[in-house]
Amino acid sequence: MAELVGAFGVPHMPTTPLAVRQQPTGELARLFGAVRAHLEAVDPDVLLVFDTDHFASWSYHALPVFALGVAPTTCGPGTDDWPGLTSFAAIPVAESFGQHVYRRGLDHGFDLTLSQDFTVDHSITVPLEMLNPAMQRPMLPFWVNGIAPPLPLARRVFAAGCMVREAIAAWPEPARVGIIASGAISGDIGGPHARPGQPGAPADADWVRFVVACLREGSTDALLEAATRERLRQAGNVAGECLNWIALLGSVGDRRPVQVEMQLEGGNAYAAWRWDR
Amino acid sequence: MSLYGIHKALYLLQNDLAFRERLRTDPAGALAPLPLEALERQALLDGDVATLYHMGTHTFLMSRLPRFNAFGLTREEYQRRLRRGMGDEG
Repeated sequence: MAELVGAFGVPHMPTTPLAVRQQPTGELARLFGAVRAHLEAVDPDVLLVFDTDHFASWSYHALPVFALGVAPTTCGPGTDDWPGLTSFAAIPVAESFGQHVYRRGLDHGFDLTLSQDFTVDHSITVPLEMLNPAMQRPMLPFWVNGIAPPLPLARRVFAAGCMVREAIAAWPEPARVGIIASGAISGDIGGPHARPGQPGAPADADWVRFVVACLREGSTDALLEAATRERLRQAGNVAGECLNWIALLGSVGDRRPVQVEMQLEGGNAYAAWRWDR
Repeated sequence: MSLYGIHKALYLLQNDLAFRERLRTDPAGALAPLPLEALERQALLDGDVATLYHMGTHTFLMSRLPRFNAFGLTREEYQRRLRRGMGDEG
């Protein structure tokens, strides 16, 4: 049977690959590198990525709350042309695992949207490039609508994460599974409070500190109580990506993280949970 | 006002290179097929991001206007118009 061996939370700023190449010993390289070391130590065979698509595959023409991408391979980003962003022509997808999670989701009352023809944007490729750079581990995108209000309830997203944990345990393959949560804790892009000359507003420092404390202390109930639509909206128009972290917590259960680092200015956290410790 | 046409235009601006180019050379023609109400269409063509904001346009999607210099908007001008629309000249 399959086993969950690790879970990892990181942001996905599209400027990351270029910044890391230009400053290989800089802060971003260090933060992502520390999470990558944990991932490599537990060496998963496949990676499930809780992600919020940025209106690339999913937009107002079709806006699922939860969706799975199940195909032999995918590619991306396509027209998302931030300087230095790497475009991958063939990213292996964990297809049979995806079919299994889709069925288990239906069995547990999660009417997941299924796509067998999709691309991925930088919100998937940046975490993968930083944590799985050769793309050697097949991945499964599990999209959560964390960007287009009204957002799903935090407790429902958490329950989806619990479903994924059960689905991994029930997958009759001798596979080691890792989970990645992709996204910011706080961020607001393109709004009226953006810093001069910058696309984004300052992070909601109180929210980031609170969420990071919940991650460190395992105070998941407090986080689920606090992560209302209104509070996420206050934390910015991409703060709904915090729901990807909440889904991860559903999969993690009671296990405490081995690492949580806060990057307050960017509104981000970098964290790892390991099952060998 | 559903905002769908506005959000569709902003979606296409990122994801459809032909649309992006046509919006640069022929903005009215690029928007013509989209389901936009007259006020929505005019606000887009004017680069009136304050009005688009007050209509309820998703700001993450709207940030693509200055990113691709649509309707002649630079990031500085985009921010100036948004702040002015909020009653904040700063």
